[in-house]
Amino acid sequence: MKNKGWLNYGLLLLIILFAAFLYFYKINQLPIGLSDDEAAVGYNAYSILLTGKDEFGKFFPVAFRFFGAYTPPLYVYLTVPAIKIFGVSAAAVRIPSGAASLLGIVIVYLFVEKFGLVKSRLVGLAGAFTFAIIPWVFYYARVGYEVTSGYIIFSLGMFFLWGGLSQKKVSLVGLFVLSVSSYIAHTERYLVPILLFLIIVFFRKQIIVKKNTKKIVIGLMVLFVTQVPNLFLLTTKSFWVKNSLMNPNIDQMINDFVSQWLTYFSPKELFGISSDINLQHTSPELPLIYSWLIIPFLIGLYRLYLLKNTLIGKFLIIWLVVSPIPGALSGHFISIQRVMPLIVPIVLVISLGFESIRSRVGWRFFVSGFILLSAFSLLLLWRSYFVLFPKERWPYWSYGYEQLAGIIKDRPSDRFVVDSTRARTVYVNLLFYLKYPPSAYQRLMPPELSANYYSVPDIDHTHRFANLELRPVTWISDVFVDQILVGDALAISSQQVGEHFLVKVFEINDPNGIPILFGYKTNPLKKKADNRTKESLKVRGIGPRKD
Amino acid sequence: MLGLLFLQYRGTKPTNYSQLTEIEKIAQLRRMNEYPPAFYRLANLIEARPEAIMYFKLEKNFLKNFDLLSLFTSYTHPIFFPFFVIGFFGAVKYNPKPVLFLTSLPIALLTIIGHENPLGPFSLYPIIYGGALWGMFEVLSKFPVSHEK
Repeated sequence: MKNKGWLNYGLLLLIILFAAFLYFYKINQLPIGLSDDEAAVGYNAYSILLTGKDEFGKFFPVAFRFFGAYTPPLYVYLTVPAIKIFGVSAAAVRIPSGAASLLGIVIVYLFVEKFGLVKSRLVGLAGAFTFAIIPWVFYYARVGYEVTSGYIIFSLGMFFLWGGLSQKKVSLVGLFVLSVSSYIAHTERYLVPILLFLIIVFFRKQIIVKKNTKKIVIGLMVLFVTQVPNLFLLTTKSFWVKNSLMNPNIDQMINDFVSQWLTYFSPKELFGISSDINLQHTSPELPLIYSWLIIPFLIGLYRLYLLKNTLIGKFLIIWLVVSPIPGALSGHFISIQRVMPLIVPIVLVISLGFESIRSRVGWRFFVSGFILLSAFSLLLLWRSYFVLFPKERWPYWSYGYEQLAGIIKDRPSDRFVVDSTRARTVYVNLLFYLKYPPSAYQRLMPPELSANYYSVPDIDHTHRFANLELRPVTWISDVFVDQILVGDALAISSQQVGEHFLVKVFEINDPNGIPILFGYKTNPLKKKADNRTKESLKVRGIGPRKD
Repeated sequence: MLGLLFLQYRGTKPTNYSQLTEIEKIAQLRRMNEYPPAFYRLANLIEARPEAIMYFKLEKNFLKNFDLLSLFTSYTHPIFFPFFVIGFFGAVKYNPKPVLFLTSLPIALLTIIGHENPLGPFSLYPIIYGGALWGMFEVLSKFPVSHEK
């Protein structure tokens, strides 16, 4: 029996190692490019590491302003040691997400195995492996911002909470971890209070008993103390920035809520191609969960229905039903990032389904079928993520700015104007790739920005640092200054190139070999001479013939 | 049920498994070119083999049967959803084989012929309304009934 236990842990370790390979293989290059959100995390972590302040000069913020979202701060602080160890790189920003996802595998295994959700340890391993390879987990394990750590730490809190509830106790660790998760991502900030309220309502007979009095009091104190920063934020505008996503019309809000909640639960959404319109959130032709898993999911739902009057059944149903609420309240559009706390309960339901299938078909048939289907799934994962994704989704990952930063670094004596008409947030990618000293950048910020940090002050969208400026090109003046104008084909047309005597000095291609960014050197002497000629022709009354 | 299945079959424009539309052909060609040259056989297997094309189309049709948003907003009302969940599982528990058999018939048909029908997947309606009705009875049966003396 003891040997079997070690075998299970050995297999779990193998699953973790395999998942680590999946999550960290080519992590610096894939996703191709670095999204603005990742660059903001990376540069702010770098800034905290060197100065203890964020890019705007705020000392250890309790919410990071970024582009106005006031993101809960913990992921940035978790990234600080990664930046210290791995340097300013895409890998350093993404590794904490991957590491959190590895922890997620252990959480799923322990949930399934330790708490008697299923009888077979084999099913615990199958559940952990399923969690490790499903595209929703895999994709976000390789993304360097807060959503992944948010749902994993939240699930860890749920694990401890259930550990307590299953013994009719209050888990102080569970409350602490859940409270901490509200500092990682917006979703958990809203989800934790809703969920704790419902847990108290539905488990009041287990929680509110005399022997728990001391723990309830300590638990409330833990929650209060750990929520002090959030309570402070509650009094500022910054806490409410995401409220703008909610529809002010109550009828419309209810309609949006119902339709979004149904969509998030829809097997078509979960096991088919997601309707999330933000193509940065998904990989081509890849569902959130492999389609064949719909069978164990539906069987698992039925098992859950049969367990509805048990404590674990109630606990899982609440977790499943409540998890999409913050996402469903946030506007018209589906965003799979906002409902990630759904992942673990869904995998637990799938594990329930596995248990039923295994007991029906026998473990030999179950294992061989599972291995075969998992291999097929991994083939689809490879096709989507390693073949199609870099070629089709590069526009959503600020691709090209790493190369641009390299060119800017190589030409320190040149002055650059980077057109930011369609890329208002890429300044942070250039700050990141240029490793621009955070203290120098903070000095460029107006001091009132740091003083009124949480009051959501307006900021200027032009950026000037190092030897570059990010703003729309001003044709009336920029062509008379000796500099390099950088932009895409819409920002600088071939007609403008001819008219202003611009000379192409570089171009940056997308992964398919098509140019996406162009650098043109201005020719102020020729332009001024041309202007003088035109002026003199105008004075002498000679102009283009008007037929 | 058989009548409904027949009507569903007659009114639906069946999915074409053997031919791709022009847009699908362009996407297929583009995707084939995205594979590294060493994997051209695999590219052909996944993107161009008739069996693979058929598999992806069947998968899409199958999953469309579970589009809760359209089933419970476009064709029925969201209020039916919780009752349906309770009722359907209750019915499965009560009498599993006939319920699962009857449910699998329209799902199998719609998976094969597709969902291009102006009236929607109406062969699923008896399952949805039946499940919801069963669910309502289950919920109502939980409330105590007072009898006049």
